[in-house]
Amino acid sequence: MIKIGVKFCGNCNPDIDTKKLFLNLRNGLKESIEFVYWEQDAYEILLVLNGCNVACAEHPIFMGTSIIIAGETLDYVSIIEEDLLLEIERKIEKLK
Amino acid sequence: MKTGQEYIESLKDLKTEVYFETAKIEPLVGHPLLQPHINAAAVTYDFAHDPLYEDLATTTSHLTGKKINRFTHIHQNKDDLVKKVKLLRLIAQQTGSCFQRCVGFDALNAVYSTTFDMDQKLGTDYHKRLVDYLLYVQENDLMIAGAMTDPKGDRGLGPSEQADPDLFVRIVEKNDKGIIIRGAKAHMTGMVNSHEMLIMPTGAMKDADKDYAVACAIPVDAPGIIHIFGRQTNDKRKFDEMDQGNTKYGIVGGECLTVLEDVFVPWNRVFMCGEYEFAGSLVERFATLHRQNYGGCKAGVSDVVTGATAAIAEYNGAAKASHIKDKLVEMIHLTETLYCCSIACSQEGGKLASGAYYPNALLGNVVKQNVTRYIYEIDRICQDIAGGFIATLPSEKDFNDEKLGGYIKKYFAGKADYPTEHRYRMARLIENMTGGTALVESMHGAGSPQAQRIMLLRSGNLLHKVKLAQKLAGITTDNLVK
Repeated sequence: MIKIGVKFCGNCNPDIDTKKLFLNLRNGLKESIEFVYWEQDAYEILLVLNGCNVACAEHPIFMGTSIIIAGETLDYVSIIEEDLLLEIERKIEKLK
Repeated sequence: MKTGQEYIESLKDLKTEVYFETAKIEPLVGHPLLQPHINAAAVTYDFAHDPLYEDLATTTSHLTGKKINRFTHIHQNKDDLVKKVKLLRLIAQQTGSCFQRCVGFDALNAVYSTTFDMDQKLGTDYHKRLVDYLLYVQENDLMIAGAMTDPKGDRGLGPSEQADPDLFVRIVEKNDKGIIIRGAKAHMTGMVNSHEMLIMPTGAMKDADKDYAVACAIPVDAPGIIHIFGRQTNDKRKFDEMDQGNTKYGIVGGECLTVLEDVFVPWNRVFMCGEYEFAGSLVERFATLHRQNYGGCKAGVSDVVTGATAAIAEYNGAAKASHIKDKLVEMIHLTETLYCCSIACSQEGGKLASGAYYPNALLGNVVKQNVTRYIYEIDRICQDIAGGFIATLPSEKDFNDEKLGGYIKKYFAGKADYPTEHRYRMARLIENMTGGTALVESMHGAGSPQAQRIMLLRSGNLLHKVKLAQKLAGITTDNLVK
């Protein structure tokens, strides 16, 4: 099972609900993906969830592939909040 | 790092002596007068353990390389300064109140850089003592009360000129083990639910004021210390639920008068002892660091007030009126202006000789000057939209009374889509957050408006502006205004 490390920004003034997004993502992919705390385990993909496009979350040193959510963007491409879940799932599927 | 619950448990080990209306408050934890402030401070601990908030609430110690609570950190770069502001906004959004821990945070940073400068010039070892103390604070994740404001007596006279010599905290004795201090610190935010206090002088001093130039760390329950808890607007409502408005976190920081009656401080906890020429610099640094905060925490509080205003407009059935929308826009504009200024003074901050980072003093003082005005305007708009019933509502007991409750629910109803209780609760929150003690805190917390204006004149580079004007006016450079 592939592992994805998860890191949140501090959520001081979020445009999107990153907690809800993450919980839905984890629930939808629980059969094929193990989500782990960014600081503890080794993982293949790093998912950084920023609440807005300032994207101020500090990134841990990571040599693998990262997926960056920053408000209504996925890897800097604009996507409305309602579609983010699906687009992240597609991205993960491609990277598997 | 402590959790919120571990912080609360740690307070139970202290013997802090707190009085209210002549009676000693025992136990402190769980007492209705204090618990909201303890709850608010506990959030600063809990967020360090929450993956959703830890990016702001934690950082890495420059002393040990360990992960620490940000409130025990010395700023190492501009990002640290920015993240401090964001953290304060975040916690204020979640508490709607003062969570108190920034004062000690700022005191640690101010004393850290000032003791470094003192040691460089005087050959003292204050900075090493401070670093040792900081390690202790970080290791135990302590809450420190920043203790600067003296009672001050006759404001036209200096510390050594007062009729009563104790109106500024002073050294009354030095011996081979340490010093003994006497006096009081006023308006002490979070003091009664802190572990330690960091005493600092309250202003610039002269040679005659040597005995008043003192900085040191003391446990809040050290022998000789008592705390007299301050009154707040409607504080007896802390014994109610709905009528408090903000049931869990209360308002402002649970301030007190801290009396220091011949308190012993060992030398390893003394960071200034008579070096009056550094008192002004220490005060200026603390003031700037603390004024930097206000576009963070007050923006967070104003986020809640703006949300409450939009909600009450909806409950009142007035949300669609164009003037309501326009006023909400004004509230957002004022709030983000406060935030802009805190971010700006952080981004324009710089490095001090100690290696610590420090906000831009001019912009930091602009932040606080704006707070003394904009919060009043934000709260005025909120009260305008909410309506007068926030000040005339019957009591919670009557609301819940079998005979009277029905009338209150009937005659204080708003839009039929919402229960009267929602309108009642929101009105109480607005009353709590926009009046009385909460407003005065915006005026005088981190220094009164005139203190900022003095700093604005000093940091404003007026001569540079005169030169600009003279050059464009064609006035020769050998005849500049001095």
